[in-house]
Amino acid sequence: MTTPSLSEKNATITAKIERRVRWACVFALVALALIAFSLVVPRPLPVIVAMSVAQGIGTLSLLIFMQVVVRDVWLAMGSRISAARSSSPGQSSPPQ
Amino acid sequence: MLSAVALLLALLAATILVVFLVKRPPLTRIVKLWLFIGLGPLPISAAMAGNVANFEVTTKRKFCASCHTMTIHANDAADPHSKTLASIHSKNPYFGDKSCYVCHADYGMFGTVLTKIGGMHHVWDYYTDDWSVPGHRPPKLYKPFSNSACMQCHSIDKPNGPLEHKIHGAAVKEGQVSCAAANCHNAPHPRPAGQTAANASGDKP
Repeated sequence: MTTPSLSEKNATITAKIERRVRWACVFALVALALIAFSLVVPRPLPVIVAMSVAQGIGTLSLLIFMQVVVRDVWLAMGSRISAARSSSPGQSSPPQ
Repeated sequence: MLSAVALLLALLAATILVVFLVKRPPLTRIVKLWLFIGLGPLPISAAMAGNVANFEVTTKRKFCASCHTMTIHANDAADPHSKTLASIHSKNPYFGDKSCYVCHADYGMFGTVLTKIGGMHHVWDYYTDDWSVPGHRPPKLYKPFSNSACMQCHSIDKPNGPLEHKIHGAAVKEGQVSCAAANCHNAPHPRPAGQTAANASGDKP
């Protein structure tokens, strides 16, 4: 069994991130639709749904996106640290 | 106005998100920035504006009348020829189209919250009870109407006030006698058939 290469790992992570971002977009659209409907049809049930369920779905969307952002920043910092370590003088080839 | 702002913000956010979902661009820096705008400030602002607009809508008589059990009361309040307390007060510009909310809202620090919780109780009862069953109790207040709603504008301590206020003033302030009691200021609303004064006000018969 071969271990996945670094590029394959990065591709997998990128695909996961993109999927989560798409889900965040879908949830946000659902929340916005419920809020817009309550503003167009201001009857009791739409208003209650907009001010409870829609808020929860919208918050979930934002949390998913923030998780993606944090993970993205974390990965970027990790890449920078790895790049800095590999290019530092202490990492040069050992003396003959 | 606030509804229009909320709808505009929601539309802008939805446009960004739909374009992203349809075109599926790679997550470059500029795309991430657009996504942040479409998932952060715009929807949050739309939700906040929408909440405030909806809070305002729920104070209007038209909203209360959207449940058919309230139609008789809403129609009477809007009738300029009616002599009920609700109709008389609805003609006052300080009440206007918020006449239901001004009289029936709870007061104090948590008054708004308690009013909204009570409103949700109404909605729950409305949709879960079968009001069409013959003999079902008519809609009534969950608790006796508080005289403080009347006394926020009408003082009963005026020196040249009616004798009844002087005699019953303490009882009125303590809620033992309702301002809307018979032979006083009478029923604020027309009574549906089969409803007595006691169960209309929420008092025990």
